[in-house]
Amino acid sequence: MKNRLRILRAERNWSQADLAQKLEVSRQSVNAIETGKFDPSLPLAFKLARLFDSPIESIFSDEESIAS
Amino acid sequence: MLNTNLSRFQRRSLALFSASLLITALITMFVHDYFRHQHHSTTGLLAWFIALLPSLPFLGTILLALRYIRRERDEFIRAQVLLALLQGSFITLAFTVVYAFFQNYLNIPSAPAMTYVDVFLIASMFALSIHLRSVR
Repeated sequence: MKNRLRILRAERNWSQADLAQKLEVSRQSVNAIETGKFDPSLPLAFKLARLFDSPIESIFSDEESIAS
Repeated sequence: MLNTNLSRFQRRSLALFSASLLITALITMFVHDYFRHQHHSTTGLLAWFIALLPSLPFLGTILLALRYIRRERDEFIRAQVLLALLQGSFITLAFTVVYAFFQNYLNIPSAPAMTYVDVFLIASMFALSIHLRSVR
C-alpha cells in the first residue's frame, strides 16, 4: 500500500517523532508506515485521517488503484 | 538496547519480564543444586513439587509476555514482538533437534534446562533488534 504520509507530514513541518507523539505510537511505527513496510490498522488509519483532516483514500492508496 | 524511547508501559513490562526470568534462573539453579546433593532423600510428591518449582516463575514470564502483547497499544511494535517471539521459537526448536542429534550420536552431555530458555530469549531479542533496526 502506498501513502502520502511523508508529504503531509513535511507540509506541516512535523518530524516523525512529532507525528508519533500525536498518534501515541513509536517513531519506528511512523517510519514503518511511511516507508510502506507496515500497513496501519483501520483505527490508526482513521486517526491519521482525522489528524491530517483528509479522507483515508487521499492518504492511502492500494497498488491496484494506482495501476488502473 | 532495542529502543531508547520506550513508553512507561513498555519499561514496566520489561522490568517485570526481567525480574521473572531472574527468579526462574535462581530457582532453577537452586533445584539443580538440591537434586545433585539431596536426591536420595527426596522422593514422591516432594520431589515432583521441587522439580516443578522452576516452571512456576517461567509460566509467570509467559503470562507477562501474553499480557504485554494484549495491552501493547502500538500495533507495529506488537507485530514485531510477535514475529520475534515466533522466530525465537523456531530457532529454539531447530537448536533442540540439532542438539538431540549430537546427544544421541556423539554422546555429548545433556544441556541444562535453562539452556533452551536462554536460546529462545537470545534468539527472540536478536530477531526483534533486527526488525527494529530496519525502521530506525
